[in-house]
Amino acid sequence: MMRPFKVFRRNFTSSGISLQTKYSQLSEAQRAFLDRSIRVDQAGELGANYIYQGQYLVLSHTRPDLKPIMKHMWEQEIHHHNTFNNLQVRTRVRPSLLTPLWKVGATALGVATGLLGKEAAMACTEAVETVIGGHYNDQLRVLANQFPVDLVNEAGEVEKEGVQSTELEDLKATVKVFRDQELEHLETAVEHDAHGARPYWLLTETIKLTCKGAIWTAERF
Amino acid sequence: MLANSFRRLYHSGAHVNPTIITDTIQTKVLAAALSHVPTTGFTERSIDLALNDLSLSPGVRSSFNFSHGPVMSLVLHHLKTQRVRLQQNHVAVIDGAKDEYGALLKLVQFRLLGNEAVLPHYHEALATIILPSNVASSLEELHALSDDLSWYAGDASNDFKWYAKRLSLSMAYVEAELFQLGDKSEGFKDTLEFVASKLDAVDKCGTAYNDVEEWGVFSLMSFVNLLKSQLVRG
Ligand SMILES: [Fe+2]
Ligand SMILES: [Fe+2]
Repeated sequence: MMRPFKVFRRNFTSSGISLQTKYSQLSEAQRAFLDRSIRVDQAGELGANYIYQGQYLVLSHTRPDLKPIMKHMWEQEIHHHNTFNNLQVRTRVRPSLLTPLWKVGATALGVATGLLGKEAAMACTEAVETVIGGHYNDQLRVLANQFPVDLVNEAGEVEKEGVQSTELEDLKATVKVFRDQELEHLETAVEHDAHGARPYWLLTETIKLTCKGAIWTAERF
Repeated sequence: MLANSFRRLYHSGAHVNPTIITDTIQTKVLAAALSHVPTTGFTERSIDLALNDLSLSPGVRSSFNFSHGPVMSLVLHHLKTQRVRLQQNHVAVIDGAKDEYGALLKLVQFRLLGNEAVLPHYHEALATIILPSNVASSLEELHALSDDLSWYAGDASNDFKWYAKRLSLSMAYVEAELFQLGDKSEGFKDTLEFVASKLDAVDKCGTAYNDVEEWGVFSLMSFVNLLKSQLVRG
């Protein structure tokens, strides 16, 4: 089977830069930030994908009326997940070592909240999207503030200062779209009685803490 | 430790990529020293001869930063030079490969043939990289090689298979180098065949591991133990 790597690479090098000038080297700290970000975003979107899969598995039987709305959110998560999978391969970031654990954990969380019923499933979405939305916002802030670079020519001379590469502009645009969609999911969840879940506080705070712990872990392992 | 050995930072397409080998006097000397390795081996003698070649006074050596000692620095320079050779030739090397496995095999064989000139002294290199103080950087370099090879071959794995592939490849590569030490066949024909059979197993394992995703914690020390046992025997 032929791998799609040739397509990846063509896209990657034709990011609108002339052959003569290049963006200056990223610092070790900048590369480390991007490395962590892509790994944790990929793991997070994998988690979201599997949570919805778990919820859909249960709710499509017990609450067929919810199928269209669940399916819409799930499909967006699949797109988020695929996007970060491609980014992880293309930028040669190692995926989270704990990928098997995220798959099992997210499926379990999805099935469990699905079994608790519509309100619990929506409360789960609300909690997850609150944390993810905040996480994406933090990331966007760093991408906007810490990544201006120089445009250098082949002789290594600076031609223009304080610009941002198309590669990083693209990443920021992607994260912004995803953040907005996560916040839409959050609103959808609240509209569908997330606050009616019992015990609401315990459920959402536990899930939020779990997500924060998972983010911390996936950035590192 | 596992995550640390895989310290592969984000690779940018739009930004200037840091090169594997930086351009300093120290690396010029190490490069010149490599040309002496076929005769004087992975030794400080090769470095002294290189200083002489470049008309540098022996005192220059004190300004060098050999973080793991001169011999290990020379060994690492050989390994990194070989990765640069792959970087420069990988497109031509995989030409005609039918799939990822075919490409990987061609790349690994190309890399093994890069040992030819230094092979009579390669046991010195292997003995150096397994010294306890050198193990961490040796493994980092080994995994950097596996990662490069996988990338050039077109690996696009997103999950645990990413680790399984690289670790099995590292293992197969180390075994192939040990085999190569004693290979007297024409053009290392036997080594190339040996590594083909090893990679064939990796190809099948990679798939199996992804299916069960139950690989458990892989002990990196098994590389070191393998090397130690083989070198003691040899
Ligand atoms: Fe998402
Ligand atoms: Fe979402």
